[in-house]
Amino acid sequence: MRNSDRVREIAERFYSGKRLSFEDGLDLYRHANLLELSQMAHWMRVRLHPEPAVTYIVSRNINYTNVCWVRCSFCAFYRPPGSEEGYVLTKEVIFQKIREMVDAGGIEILIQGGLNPRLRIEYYEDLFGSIKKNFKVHIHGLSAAEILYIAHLSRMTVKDTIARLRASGLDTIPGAGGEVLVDEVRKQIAPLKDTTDEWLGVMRDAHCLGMRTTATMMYGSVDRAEHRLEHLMRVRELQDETGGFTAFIPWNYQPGGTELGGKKTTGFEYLKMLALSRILLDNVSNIQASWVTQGPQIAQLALRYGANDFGSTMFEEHVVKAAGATFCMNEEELKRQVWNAGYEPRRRNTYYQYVN
Amino acid sequence: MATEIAQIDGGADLLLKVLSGERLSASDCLRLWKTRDLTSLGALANLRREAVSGNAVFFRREVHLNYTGLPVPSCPLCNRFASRRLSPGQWERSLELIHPDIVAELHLTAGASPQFGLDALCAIVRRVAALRPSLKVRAFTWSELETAAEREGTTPDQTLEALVEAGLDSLAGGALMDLTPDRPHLVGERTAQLERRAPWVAAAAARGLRCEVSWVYGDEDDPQWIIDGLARIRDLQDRWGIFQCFTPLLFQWPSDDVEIPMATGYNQLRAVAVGRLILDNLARVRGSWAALTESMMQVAFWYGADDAGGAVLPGDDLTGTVIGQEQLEELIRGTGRDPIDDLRLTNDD
Ligand code: SF4
Repeated sequence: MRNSDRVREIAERFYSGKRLSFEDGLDLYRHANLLELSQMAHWMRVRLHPEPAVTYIVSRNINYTNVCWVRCSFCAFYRPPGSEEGYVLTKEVIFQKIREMVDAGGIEILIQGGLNPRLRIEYYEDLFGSIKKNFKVHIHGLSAAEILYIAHLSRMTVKDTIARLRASGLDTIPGAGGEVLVDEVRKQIAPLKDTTDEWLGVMRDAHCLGMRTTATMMYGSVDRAEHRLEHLMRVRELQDETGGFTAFIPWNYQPGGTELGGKKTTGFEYLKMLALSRILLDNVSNIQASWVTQGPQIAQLALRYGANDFGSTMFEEHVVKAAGATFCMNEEELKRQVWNAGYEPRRRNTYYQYVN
Repeated sequence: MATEIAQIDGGADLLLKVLSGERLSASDCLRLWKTRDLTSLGALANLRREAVSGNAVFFRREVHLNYTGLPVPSCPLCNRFASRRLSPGQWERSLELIHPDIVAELHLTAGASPQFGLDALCAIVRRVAALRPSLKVRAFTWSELETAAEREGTTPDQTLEALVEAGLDSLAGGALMDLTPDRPHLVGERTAQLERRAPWVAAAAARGLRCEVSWVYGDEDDPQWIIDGLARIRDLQDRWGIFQCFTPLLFQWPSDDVEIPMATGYNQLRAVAVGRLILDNLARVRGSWAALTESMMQVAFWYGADDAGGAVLPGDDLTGTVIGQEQLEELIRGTGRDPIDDLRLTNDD
């Protein structure tokens, strides 16, 4: 079959409402042109979100500690235990940050950090508990790796750990650290970090406890197209099982200042990956554009490649920033971008429901 | 793609027009500029683009020189070379560094200076021809030519005749109007300038000189005005046929004090796609990395652009970013398009 015929055959099946396979995705990646991917992704976006709106949340990222023993080669954020540049934010500093955000109308904190051997479950229970006592904010926090490590340090099962964190105030878990969910890739870029099954296991446990999480993908380091598609399949399978993912957020590896180094993939590649994510993840409701890593122009175009969400307006994210991604956008500019693309900007909460 | 295009307001008509090669009206283009359906706009522009140049993306191996060091008011891109002020000795030395096997074209533009009359411009062209005879010389924007002619009291025709005799191959041209930070949005003034330069276009045509043409817009400009400007370029091209390549450019100025609204990705692609559709008598539409960023350039190749601008070569310094030939070809191939070295093409003809 000629490549263009194969793309047409896949597209026809897709537009008739059928789910596409791993092989279909790979052939689209290799042979579909940019406009064909845009059209297919947008078709799925309209099917799931017929209203011409683009959502965003007013929130703040808080990186409570940069101390981490894992030393992932793609990470420019961590400092090893004992380093002079290592920090753990005090409660006062964290509260101050939350207060500033609440005053600016923010409703969610995204709280994440490294794997710090000093911090056990009691630290987190105390932190989350006191945040909840003082503020009416949603806590979107930690990552699979942090939760696994807390469980390990505190000699508890993952499920019990999540349950205790939840009881103390953790509301939802970001799907960070997903990188590429293929062990062949994970072993190369983060040999000491959780395996694919461990990552998925944390998400499954959280979903089973009734918590919602997001899922991410960081592609473009040592991975090939097959790996990225396998990642999408793993997310889709778990979503079929639990339905717990609220959103999927792909972005590319940011090589600046990392041990792994290498070249940054371009925005063209990003739009392709974003579109494929939307096309294949028919069971994940929201796809988020990453203007932090892509810059405003490509992020705006993402709205035609499957994204229906613009992420967060407030920006204080040291992990990606450390690797040289420093795009910034305030709420006014974000709204201008959304209107310019022909959509209505709408504020949302962590569950992707409209607020105000 | 056809089904989707048909869904935009009047889209079926537009599709028929594009497929049959019929001319689009300014109001057709305004409707396209305003559609939310950027994919269909891109698909229409891509139909025209592939009819004209198939799967090719053209580029040139070029070096830029600004001989006065002053900002170039009609070109935000040439502007970026303004910071380095070169003495005559310095720029001659830069010329000597240019390797004729690597660099094919010299792009010579500058902010006009009353010190540089027609004789001075001719002397520069002659010097380049003597030092580097194989180099194509693409030089001078309209304001440099105007200033030189004014100083010498020559007509456009006399001015261009002298430059062609000195060895000029083609004109840089650029935007048909000048822009400065204090009056970027005086639409009436910009239009008047465009009319004033029409005689220069006629004179260039008479001397067999060809040039590039750009349209400089602000992100908040009224689309109607942008499209009227493009339609005026189309008229000039119908009459004189000298424009080789069209570049839409967002207004920029090399100063931190001037705040200019950031271009949206949608507007950048609208300008490329609508430019391609309205300028049906012009072969090339440029979406260069220098004007758009690498990523947006790659995307633009699917929204009507078939020209990547220049591979900027060693010895050149565009605000610290240099993209060599290999890298540019790789970026082009990464989009599924075929890179074609423009000047190798003309030299082989
Ligand atoms: S990515 Fe996370 S786990 Fe890996 S080194 Fe950085 S902070 Fe530590």
